[in-house]
Amino acid sequence: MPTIIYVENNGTEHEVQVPNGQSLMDGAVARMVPGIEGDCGGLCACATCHIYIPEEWQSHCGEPEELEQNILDFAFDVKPNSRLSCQIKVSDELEGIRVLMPERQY
Amino acid sequence: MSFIETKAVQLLNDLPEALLITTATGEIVFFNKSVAAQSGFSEQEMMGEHVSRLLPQSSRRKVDVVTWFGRWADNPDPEQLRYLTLEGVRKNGESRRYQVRVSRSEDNAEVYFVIVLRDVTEEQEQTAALRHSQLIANRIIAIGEDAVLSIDTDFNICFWNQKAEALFGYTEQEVMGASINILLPEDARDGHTKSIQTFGSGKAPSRFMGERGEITGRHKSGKTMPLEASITKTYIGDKLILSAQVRDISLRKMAEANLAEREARFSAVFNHAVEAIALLDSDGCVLEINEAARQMLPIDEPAINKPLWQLPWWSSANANEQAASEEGLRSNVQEAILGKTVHTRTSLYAGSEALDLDFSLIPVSNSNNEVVYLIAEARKLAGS
Repeated sequence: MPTIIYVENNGTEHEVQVPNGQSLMDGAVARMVPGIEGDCGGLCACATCHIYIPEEWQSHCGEPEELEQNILDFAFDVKPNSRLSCQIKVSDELEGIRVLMPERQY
Repeated sequence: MSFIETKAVQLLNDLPEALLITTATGEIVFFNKSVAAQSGFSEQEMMGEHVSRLLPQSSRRKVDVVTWFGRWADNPDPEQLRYLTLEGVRKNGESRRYQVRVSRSEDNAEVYFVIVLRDVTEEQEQTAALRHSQLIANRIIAIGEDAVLSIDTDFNICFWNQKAEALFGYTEQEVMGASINILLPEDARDGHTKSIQTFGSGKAPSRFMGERGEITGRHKSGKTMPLEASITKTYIGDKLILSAQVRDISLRKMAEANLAEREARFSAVFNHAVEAIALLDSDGCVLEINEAARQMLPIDEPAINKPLWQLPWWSSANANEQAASEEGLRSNVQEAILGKTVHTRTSLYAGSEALDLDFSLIPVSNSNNEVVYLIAEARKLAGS
């Protein structure tokens, strides 16, 4: 089970094990990591699971699809490395990834 | 305007929903009474104004509100629209959150956005407050020292914390939806099911550790372990959810068994010693007496917690002798309390008969060099 490090905007780090196949959003919500809301439950509809992927990890996370890109356009504090965590599936490739969170999700 | 057109405008104006219409560039061309009441802006103030006066553009959002309208008017997805909200502002400057529905309307090549706003500020705040309190409660459960798990009406596991994972060896993925029986040895399953059914149908909302006996749990590896559990029930509609806090008591039981074994060993030494021995506290009061002491001179009244010198062992028919004996013993105890080992000879009296003894008082100190116990030892003198 890969270890994912969720980093809150205030710097608090949550190192949790997330099973392969779950999304980064599911992993955070199931392990009670604050800062990732996931209101729509992974429908790629709400942009409340917005995260930033550090540059060195971007190639491991794939490219966002058009729908995700569209939703991200309306999120808060979007940057070039913004992603929706519900759209990234955990695999062994993501072992040790650091996932950064925005100041807020709404 | 025809009668129908006039009536239609009046109906839109009277609509209980907050409705506004903008041009393709966001200029407001219709502003009904509900949106006026909701926002505090009047129709006169807003006609011809840009919609960003009502739904301001945030510098921290990439897309402006008119682009947003275009996106969702062209591709309305009811499922997604449930979650789409925009920041709004009232005339008094107060921030609001609006759930927005938008459609595109075309009239002679002119494009309009028909927009319905629903104020969800309080709803969102309440949801956020609920989510925060759940987060706090869940994080407390997560770091708790006990395993926490819940089962549904069919006895299938529906909640599982990290300590439960550590205790039973199953991950959350492995147990969710599985029967509680996987956590029990086979021969305990029927009994456990009956016990849960009895509790489920009983009047008590909870049962605490210690109120019920020990149960046996089964680790994923097959190893069994003694457990204690507190259990509570919650009805969600007519569905019963039972939740338990479970604690492994192997270590406690081992510690208790070790303690009992040590106690048995020490009492074997104490009670089978040839010398009469009494353990005294630092005031000289008796805490324990061994068998040899009891046999040396049986006494009827309880000796425990009495000062050594007041025991009837030292009584004498002669009042002067008794006083001297008591006083002598008392001063011996005082010396020992100050840390000095005392060796002396003394006499016990069994009615009129005296028993001459070799008598010692040995102080026992703690790590701070404070005397916490005294050991009184007595041995009959040869020929006595």
